[in-house]
Parts: sequence; C-alpha cells; structure tokens
Amino acid sequence: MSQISDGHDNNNNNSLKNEPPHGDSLHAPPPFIPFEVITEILSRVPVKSLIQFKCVCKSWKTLISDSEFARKHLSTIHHHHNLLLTINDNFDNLLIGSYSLQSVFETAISNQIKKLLRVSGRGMYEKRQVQSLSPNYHMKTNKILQMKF
Amino acid sequence: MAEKASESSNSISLNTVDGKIFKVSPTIANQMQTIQSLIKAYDSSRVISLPHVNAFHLSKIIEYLEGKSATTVSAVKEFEAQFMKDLSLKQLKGLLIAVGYLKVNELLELMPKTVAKLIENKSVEFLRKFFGIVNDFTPSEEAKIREEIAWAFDGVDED
Repeated sequence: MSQISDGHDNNNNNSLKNEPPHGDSLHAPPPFIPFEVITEILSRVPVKSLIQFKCVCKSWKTLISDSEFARKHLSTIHHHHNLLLTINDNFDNLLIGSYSLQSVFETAISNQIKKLLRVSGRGMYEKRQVQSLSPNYHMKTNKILQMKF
Repeated sequence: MAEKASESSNSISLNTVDGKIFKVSPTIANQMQTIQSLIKAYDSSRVISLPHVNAFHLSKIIEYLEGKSATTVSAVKEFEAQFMKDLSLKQLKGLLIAVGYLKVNELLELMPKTVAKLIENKSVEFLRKFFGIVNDFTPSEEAKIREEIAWAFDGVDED
C-alpha cells in the first residue's frame, strides 16, 4: 500500500481528528476508515472528482497533490480511463474524455490542461479560449500524450 | 452459518464487540492479517477479542471469504458484485472500518473500487459526512481553494 513520502504530509494526516493515539492495535482499534484505505479509494476516483475533493480537508489536499499519489493513481486508473483528445490543425475541433492526475499537477502544462478541461466540462468548443492558449500548446499537448498515455 | 461451532479442533474463536463468538477455520482466519498475527502471538486455543468489530461486519467478512473460495473463477465477479450490492451506505462504511482494522486484503482490493464508484460525483459535504472528516480549513482557505478549482465542480450530484 502506498504511503505518502513527503515529511510534512504526516503532520497533515492528523487532521483526521477521529484518529486515536497509536498503541496496542488490538485494544485501540480504529473507529474510523484508515487513511491507507482512503488512499486506495481515492486512487480509483477520476481526476475531475479528485480535484474537487481537495477541499474536503487538509490531509486530502496534501494527498491528492502528492506526486507519489499521482503515480499510484495513474497506475490504478489508467486501465479504466482512456484519454480521448482530438485537435485538428486549425483548432476548430476539440474533444477530451479523460486525463491523468499527474498531467493536471505538472505546473508547466497545467494551465493549458485546465483550459482544455473547461472547454470539455461545458461539452462545447469555444474558439476564443483555444486562441488564448500559447502558440506552442499543440506541440506540448502532443508531448503530454506521448509521455502519459 | 458462520456462528455454528465448527467440529474442527483447530478452529479459531473470535469474539465480537457485541459478544458473539465466531469459530472460523484457520484458512479463513489467516486471510485476516490482524487475526493471523494474533494467532502467532498467542495460544490459538484462546478466544480472540475484537473490540469495535461487530457480529454483522465479521459475518459479512466471513461470508465473503467463504463465498469467494467456494465459487469458480467465473462466478467470483458475480458473487462480488452481489455482495457489494447488498450493502447499504452505512453498512459499507462500517465494513470498511472493520476490513481496514482486520486487514482483509481481498476486501481491501474490492471495496475501494466500489466506494470510489459511489463517491465520484458526490459533493465535498457528502464526503466529509461519509468519511467522518472534520473540515480543518478556515472559511477563507476553503473559499480560496474552491475558487482555484471552480472549473471542476460541474456535474456534482445532489446529496
């Protein structure tokens, strides 16, 4: 089971206030869903939902933003979600289905991805938004496709 | 079913928080990692107390472990689907806690899939309630995050 590696995450995990102090596990069993189980659940949730779940509490935000979790998520979910992204040379036809969590958090490309998702979320294409993307966005997008999918 | 005393002399006795004794075979017991380590640590003839695991949750876990081993590979998927379908939201949560505590690896694989499907379009408030999570953001922190990720909030289910 994947653990969060980053040191400061451990502090944030305490925000699950129900957690009793660690002791004899037989006599102090958890009256809550263990964080490892929550990690397993969240690693199977689609990216768009995960982004929303960042505001559940601090420990979830830390977990969801963690690069190791992103890798786990990608390896868990990629069998079930295929990216559907088609863009023609004139940018007049754009379609997005699914996408990796890691791609959303890679700062270099995240803004472009978010713009694409906005277009996708409305289920319609708006030429104005696509034109506002950087000139080399098409190239970067292709690069993402090759790297992550 | 599971509560009937097994004739087998090496069965393991488990005592739930609500005072029911379950006798299970070592094969079943060893699929619960927490029990497995307790059997190793203590004399196996001793009754193992499980505070916070109630009879319902333990019986579901045993039902799953027995049911799964008794079915053919092709029937497992169907059995699993039916097993999960029969659980209410509240039962699902209680079972998750029990399964997490007892470390039933088989169910730790299956249940997250079901729960993930269940929560994918749920609101933040629903999730806090379901998982028993205290919102530790200040109102302004939460507002800021919501603003940053506002684009992701289309299509959330009503609670």
